[in-house]
Amino acid sequence: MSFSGGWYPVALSNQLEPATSAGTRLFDREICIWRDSDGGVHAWEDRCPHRGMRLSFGFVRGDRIACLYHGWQYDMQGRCRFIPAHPQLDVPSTIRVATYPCIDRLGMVWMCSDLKMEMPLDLPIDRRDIAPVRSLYVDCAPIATMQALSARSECTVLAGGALISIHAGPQNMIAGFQPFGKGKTALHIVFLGSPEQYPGNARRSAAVWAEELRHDLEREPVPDTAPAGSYEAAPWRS
Amino acid sequence: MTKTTDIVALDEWYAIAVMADVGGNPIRTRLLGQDIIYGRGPNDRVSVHEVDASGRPGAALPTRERYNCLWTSLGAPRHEIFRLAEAEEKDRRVVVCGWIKMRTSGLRLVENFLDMAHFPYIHPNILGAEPHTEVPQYASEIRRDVDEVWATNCQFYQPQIVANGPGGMVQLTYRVPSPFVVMLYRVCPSSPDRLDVIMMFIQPIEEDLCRALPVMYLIDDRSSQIDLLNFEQVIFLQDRIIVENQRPLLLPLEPRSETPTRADLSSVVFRRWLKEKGLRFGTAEGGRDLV
Repeated sequence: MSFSGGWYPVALSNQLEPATSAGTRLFDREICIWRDSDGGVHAWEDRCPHRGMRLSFGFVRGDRIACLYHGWQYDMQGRCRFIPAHPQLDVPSTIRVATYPCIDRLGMVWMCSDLKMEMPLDLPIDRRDIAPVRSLYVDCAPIATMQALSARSECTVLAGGALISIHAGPQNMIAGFQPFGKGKTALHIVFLGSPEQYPGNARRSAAVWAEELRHDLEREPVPDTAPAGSYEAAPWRS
Repeated sequence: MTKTTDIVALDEWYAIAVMADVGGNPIRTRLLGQDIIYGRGPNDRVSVHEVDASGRPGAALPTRERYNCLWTSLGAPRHEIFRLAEAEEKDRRVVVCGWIKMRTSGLRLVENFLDMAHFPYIHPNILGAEPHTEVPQYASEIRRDVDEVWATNCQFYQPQIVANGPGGMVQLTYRVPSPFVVMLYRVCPSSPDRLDVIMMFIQPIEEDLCRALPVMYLIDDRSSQIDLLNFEQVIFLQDRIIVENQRPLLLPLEPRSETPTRADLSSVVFRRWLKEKGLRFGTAEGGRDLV
């Protein structure tokens, strides 16, 4: 199998708080995701056109994100609106950042991998009550991760590979599948249902399940790459 | 990586060590992708050698001792190391800071040093402060007679010109005597008819890896040595967050790949100068394909 252009989840919604930004990758492209003060999500090329600084290091104020380096401010459409070094300058409309379609759905932040593609996000599941578990970043290629996941658990692959319904243990989990890059995959794991339906211990056991999955995926293909001691030191083991 | 084939880069002088650190034990380092070894021989003579593929010292390289540093070249330099008149003044205080290694092209570091517009954001309440963000117009040129880049009539608001003093406009002059050396002259707070000099020597290790050494020639008999070192360390660690997160890490010389404004004039002139020289090492055009 292979992954084609389209919509992919790049974060758990609750991990991207209002007025913050974060850096991630999709197919090895560096992406800045940020949430404005009103809760809207944005996925941009992670590069200020001025001097190439990663915008994910920037700061969000209201409905704009400003580059950390020189404070250039961009509006929600990616257009530069203010250059502090020249406060009187009417900023040319040509100065803009490449923006990707981006939306919150199923407790995850989704982005379309293609700048020009204008296809709506069409998911086979539509729920508003979501209990987020955790995001899992695995040093394992996306295809190998998908195969290992299918071999371990009873899985149903949905949305062209962007969602996986996993039947492991008593509950059904949903994992958003992010092809992060060569040799790296992210899974954004949620339960379908309200957080009250899935109290602490249910989510905790899912988190342990996810951690064991990561342990196996990172150990199996290249045993030496698993950093010694990192699992024993993890807080959920104590 | 292996030694670059970029003749322009090979023919320059590079500071590779602080003289006080050059002793009897040979020390290995890397310049432009080539491993080299330096040390002091039994007759106290300082030498620098390339390290060949088998790990043994190879060809001896030219050396100079200037500005408290050991300099060398992997090629045939067509000129001497730049001259700094202030270094000959007897009442100057010389402050040699430590090396700081950074995962970026040394050329990105030069540009960051030339840049005033980032002061209020990256060095807040030290070298700049909001809302004083405007960069007044200044001049920048390639000086053909000396083959250097200069930026003159630079002014910027700094919140503390002297420690715990009031803020105001500082007057700065920037000078780039060679592609991996950059310095600034600042009107001296305690003696307004003289200029403090802050230099940065860069040792390009690989295309996207370098280390930088700030060296200052000051008119200052009040600040303690540790305060001066701490000040520089804070500044450089703040800058490091930027230069290691610019994309690409290598400096693009193609004019349309980034978006300069008037405040970036010295960067525009610097890139034009590098392009004219034909320098490729550490540039996005000539280097390896990186992020």
